[in-house]
Amino acid sequence: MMIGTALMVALGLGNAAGAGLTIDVQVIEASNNGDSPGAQSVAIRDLGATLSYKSFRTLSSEQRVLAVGEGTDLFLPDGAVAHISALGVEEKKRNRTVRLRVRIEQGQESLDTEYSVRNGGTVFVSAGKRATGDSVLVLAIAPHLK
Amino acid sequence: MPPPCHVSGLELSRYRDRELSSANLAELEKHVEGCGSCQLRLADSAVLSRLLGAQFLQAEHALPPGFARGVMARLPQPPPTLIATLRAWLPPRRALTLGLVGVAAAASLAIVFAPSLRNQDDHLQETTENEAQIHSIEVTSPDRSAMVFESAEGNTVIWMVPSTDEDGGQATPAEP
Repeated sequence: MMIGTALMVALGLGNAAGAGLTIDVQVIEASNNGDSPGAQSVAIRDLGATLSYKSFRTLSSEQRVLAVGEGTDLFLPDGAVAHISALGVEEKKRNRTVRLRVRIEQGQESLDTEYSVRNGGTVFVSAGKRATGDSVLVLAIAPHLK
Repeated sequence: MPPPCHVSGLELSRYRDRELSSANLAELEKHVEGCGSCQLRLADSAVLSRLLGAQFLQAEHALPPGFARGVMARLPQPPPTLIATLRAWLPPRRALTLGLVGVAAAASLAIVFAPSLRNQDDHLQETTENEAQIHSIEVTSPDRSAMVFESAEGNTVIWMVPSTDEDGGQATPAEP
């Protein structure tokens, strides 16, 4: 069903395929050990105000350029993999939204989600637990259209 | 991933709520200090309780009579086992962004389709500016479920939480 939806969106929004789409992906570790470093990103500040973990730190931050219909893989610590696909771009009344599919796999567990978010908006996705220690991974995913 | 732990979710929940005898509390406290798995489960549980507690309070004060029936009537009807996971008692702004996706204890699959009301009725634009529209969530896990909620700054968070032991693996809201 998800594949069907993806095809429909990709075909139905063909005009958006040429739109330059950059996905900012920040890998954040949330833990109950230690304190967060002083300089924090907007995403980490938001997470810190939302979740009750004691410390947050950015493990990596990168940008992936995608066309609609394309996907990219992000290899995370402890064998987790995030597959991010751009399914479409929609013009709404006041702004543009990007439809993404994010699938995170770690061992026997997987989280597969499809959502639309406004241009520049961030969605935080739980990305598995670390093999050692009491920390979890969070992806902060923000699409940007040119 | 921390090694699995023998302490059940129920025990941990009673520990968190200080419902154990003082001897058991002390024993479990000592265990938790050295158990990464229990620490993670407690942290998850604290997040879940806080969020759902806030939702209950907000729902209690802000939900107009008959709201839940109205929301459910507007939703496309998924199979009963799936719709059971959508909590209609939530306030309008979060009704479709807080979805508990129940996952059975034995490596099961749960799918929730939560189309935004915004697409169906332009009068219901009560979501925040940053909030994402969730089309589907699918979880494969022996003991974890997904929940969707709003961050402090109005962004959307898709989070994995432990399924509780008491109800056969179905994630349920904690008491406020």
